[in-house]
Amino acid sequence: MRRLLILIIVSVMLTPLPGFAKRVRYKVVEVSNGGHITGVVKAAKKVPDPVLPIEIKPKEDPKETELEKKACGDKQQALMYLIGFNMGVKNVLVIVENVKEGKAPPKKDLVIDNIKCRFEPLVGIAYVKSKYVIKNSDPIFHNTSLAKVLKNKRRTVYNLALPRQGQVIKKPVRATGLHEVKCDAHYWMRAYIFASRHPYVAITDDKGSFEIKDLPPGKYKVRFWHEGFQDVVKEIEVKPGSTTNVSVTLTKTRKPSVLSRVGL
Amino acid sequence: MTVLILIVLGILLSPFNGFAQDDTGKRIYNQWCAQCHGYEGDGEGYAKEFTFPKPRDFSLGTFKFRTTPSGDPPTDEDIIRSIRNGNPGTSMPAWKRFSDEEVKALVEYIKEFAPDVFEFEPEPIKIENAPPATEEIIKKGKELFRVAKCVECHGQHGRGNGKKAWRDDFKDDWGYRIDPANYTYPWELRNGSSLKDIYRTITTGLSGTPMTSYQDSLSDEERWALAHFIKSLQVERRLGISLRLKKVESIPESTDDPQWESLDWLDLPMAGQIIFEPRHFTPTITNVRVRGLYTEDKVAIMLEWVDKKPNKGDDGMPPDGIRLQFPSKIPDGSERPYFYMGDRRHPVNLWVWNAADNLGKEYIAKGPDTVYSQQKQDVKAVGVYDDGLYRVIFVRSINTGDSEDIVFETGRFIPFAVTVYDGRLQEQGNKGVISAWYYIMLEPSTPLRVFVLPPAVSLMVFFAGFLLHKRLSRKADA
Repeated sequence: MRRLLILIIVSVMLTPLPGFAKRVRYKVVEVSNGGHITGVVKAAKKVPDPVLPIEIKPKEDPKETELEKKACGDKQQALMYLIGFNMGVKNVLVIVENVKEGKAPPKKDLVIDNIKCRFEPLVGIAYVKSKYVIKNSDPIFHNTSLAKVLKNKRRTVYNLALPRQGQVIKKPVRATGLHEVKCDAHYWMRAYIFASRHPYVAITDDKGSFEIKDLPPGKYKVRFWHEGFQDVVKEIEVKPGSTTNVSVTLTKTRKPSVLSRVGL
Repeated sequence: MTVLILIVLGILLSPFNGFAQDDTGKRIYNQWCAQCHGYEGDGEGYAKEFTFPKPRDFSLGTFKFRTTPSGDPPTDEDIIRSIRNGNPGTSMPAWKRFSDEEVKALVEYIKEFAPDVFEFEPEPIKIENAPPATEEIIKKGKELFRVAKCVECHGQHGRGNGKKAWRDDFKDDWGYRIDPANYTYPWELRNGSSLKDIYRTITTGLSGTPMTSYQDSLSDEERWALAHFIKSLQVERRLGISLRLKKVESIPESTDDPQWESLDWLDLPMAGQIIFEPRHFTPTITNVRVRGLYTEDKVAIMLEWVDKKPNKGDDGMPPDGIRLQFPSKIPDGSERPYFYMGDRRHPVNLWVWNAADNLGKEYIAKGPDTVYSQQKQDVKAVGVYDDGLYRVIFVRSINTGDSEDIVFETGRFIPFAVTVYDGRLQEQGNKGVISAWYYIMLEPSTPLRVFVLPPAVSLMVFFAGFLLHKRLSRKADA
């Protein structure tokens, strides 16, 4: 008995470490009796949508300056605070956190288009194992710098040059979490991408409503993220076959870095 | 039974055991790297305040210098290259003291600071089929330089002075100010300055900086052409200790006179002034180029340096400027004044120019605390800033008659030193970028007899020999 015990201990201790290191972050399972989450995200008060002033510095070739001015204009509606009649807020990311297992994420590439000196979409969801499809629809140079947002810092994931109109670059989605997209040539351009391993992320529509389906029953944290409002986190419980309603009101605004960049 | 337990214990403690990990990487890192890069790999070492660029923070997981596409981690060889070769223009030296095994262990340890970044297997790019440099390919590269918008950050001549670059939010991933590279100074190129290094930088970009990757947007052929053009912009750095000044009829008055281009030059490596307060550890000007000539009664020195953004002193920052220093008297022995601003017993002449008033001023200094303006001002200076490059000409009489002024005697080695200021970095006073002592020598003009006598002598020798030969052969015939 004692010998057996020692042998077991020894074999456990001799097991190579990497076996432990390779932890599974998300397990794809069949979800047959899942629950759903729906809700509406509202703003406590109307917040005016800022207009971003745009400065085009003269280039060596005046023709290029003209081209740039034509493509970008001299100001841009920020489309930051899109608050409807019902006070619903558009473009809020609704992220279910601490999901250990669930459905497979959709095989769906995320197109990030550089068009009229904006990123389209402003807020997007990308799925691991799918691709970013980065496009330039403008007749001018853009570069797309996609970086993971960390505390007080950013970690560049991709920084790709798109000097020509119609250029398309595809890159795999690897890093997860919130990403900020910038163009170093046009300081006012920005987009926000949430890259996820699981399908339980949504973006609110123009009424502020969202829907997340087929979550395995259990307790979750739901984070509501918006560039111009402070985060709100709700703890919820999802029950088999039923729909949980999670509605929040965003009260505190915050100043996203783009406003500092344009001097507002 | 006891024997068995002993054996088991022996196995557990033996090096074959996965738990008894080799700590070579950590040991070397803590001994040789952590002082700058931080014990946690976060770049928060002791040397952080005294370096620019700052030591790399490995914990963020962004790596600039790679052979891998944007989005991929660096290969082990990439990290090894940075360790073995160092990074030019930074405080990162080339480490030769470690064995290959030690470097490998070090790389493994560095990767542990950002394990999630290294989960993916990097796929290095291929650097092959470099075409030879031809006029045609350089021309093509020049066109691409415009098309790919390199010019917007790096400027027409690649001096890192592009108009787009000067936004306050041009920062790297770590939140530090970042300037576009000056291609013309190969010694400043952190990722290397060879054709292949440039090709690699264009292809992969420098992650964490605005330098973007052109791998997917320009063809292989286009990237080689661009690399050739950029390589062609590099200047030749002539290091040495002295510069000879030729005598000419008249001094060219403008900085773009072709006569200046025809002269030899001397490049002075520059460093921050760190002896007197305020000490300056993080300058960006690395080089001042010196040319000079003289006439019967005047001497002229032209100084040239790259400054990526001009400051005229009207934007709340001090103006850019430069100062030329000579001893008041040419030293007879080897004892020269103290190299920075002279000393009490050995005063120096200071010729000063700044971008705000664009004229020459003359001072006497007996150390950094004792500087006074001269009653009689004899120095004239004019400076021009053009596409990232400052050129300043100082002119003064060979002999002013003033007892405190240096007399430029021909044929003697005359010490000089330079201090340069970049207003953007709040440089002024002792916060400057300085050189050591170097020398100029006014070449004695060659007297006419040097050109006449030697040929005349050799002609006479020839004829004497010829006559001798004739006479001897006549004798032999007889």
